[in-house]
Amino acid sequence: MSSSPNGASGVERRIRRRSVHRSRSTAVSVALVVLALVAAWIGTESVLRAVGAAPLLADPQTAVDTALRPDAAFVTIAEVIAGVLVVLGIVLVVLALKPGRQHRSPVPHERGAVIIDTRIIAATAANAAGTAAGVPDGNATATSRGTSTEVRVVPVSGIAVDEGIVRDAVKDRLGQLDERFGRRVKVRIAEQGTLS
Amino acid sequence: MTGGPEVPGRVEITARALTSCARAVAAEHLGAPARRVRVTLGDHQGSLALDITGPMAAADDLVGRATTSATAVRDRVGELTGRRVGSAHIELTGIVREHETRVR
Repeated sequence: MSSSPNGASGVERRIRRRSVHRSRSTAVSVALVVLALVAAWIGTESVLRAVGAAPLLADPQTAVDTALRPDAAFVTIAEVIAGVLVVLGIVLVVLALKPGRQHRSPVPHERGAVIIDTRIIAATAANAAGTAAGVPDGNATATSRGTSTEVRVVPVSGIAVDEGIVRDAVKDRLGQLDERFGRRVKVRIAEQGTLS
Repeated sequence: MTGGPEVPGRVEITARALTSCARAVAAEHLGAPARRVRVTLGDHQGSLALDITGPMAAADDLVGRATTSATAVRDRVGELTGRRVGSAHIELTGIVREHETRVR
């Protein structure tokens, strides 16, 4: 933020980042709520024990005793619980470490934060490829991920499609959106064509 | 079939039109009436594939004539439609005699 030339750009950069990446607040909230519930339960059981009332689920002392002298049933339960906890832990670690990119890309613009959906990039690429190859609209499809785009063209029977021309056309058209999108373009021409 | 970037739009030839065209060409080269000739279009590795079924005019060397007409049909259809024709299969179902039904 300190490197930004004007005040608004910091906010805009944050908006761009928040739009492109998924928020982790849901996972954090769920984990915290679960943690709070477990802590509250342990606290309640301790108070009930101190007062001398009947325990809600299990008396802490008996629970610890059972854990220290495990029988067959307890070992099975402990294994199941441990397995569930391991899976949950892996999920949380993955959520924490992965960038959580959504299918959107920021586009540089002199005013405001501009974010476009990758489907728009893919549709633009498919349109450019279809026009360049001279095939009907449905015969050119594209997928886009990050800055790389893959175009698939099904030629019309009897009309050869030049892969190089299609690639150049797609690169050119995507380059008009932003130069980054036109850099990595893969074109695949289907072996088998379709009639008209 | 693209008009290039300066001409908006595109020329499309429907499969029906291609079939009719190939049928007429095949009938002409086989010497049979067009209504007795059937043509199915397919795709052979990106090129047009013709499947022609019908009779041909009586001749001494039927197989030889059929082979030459297959080549001729292939070239002519490619010329007329501007498509690359990969293969032309001809399945003969009989012969057509000239003056088969004489009008008295």
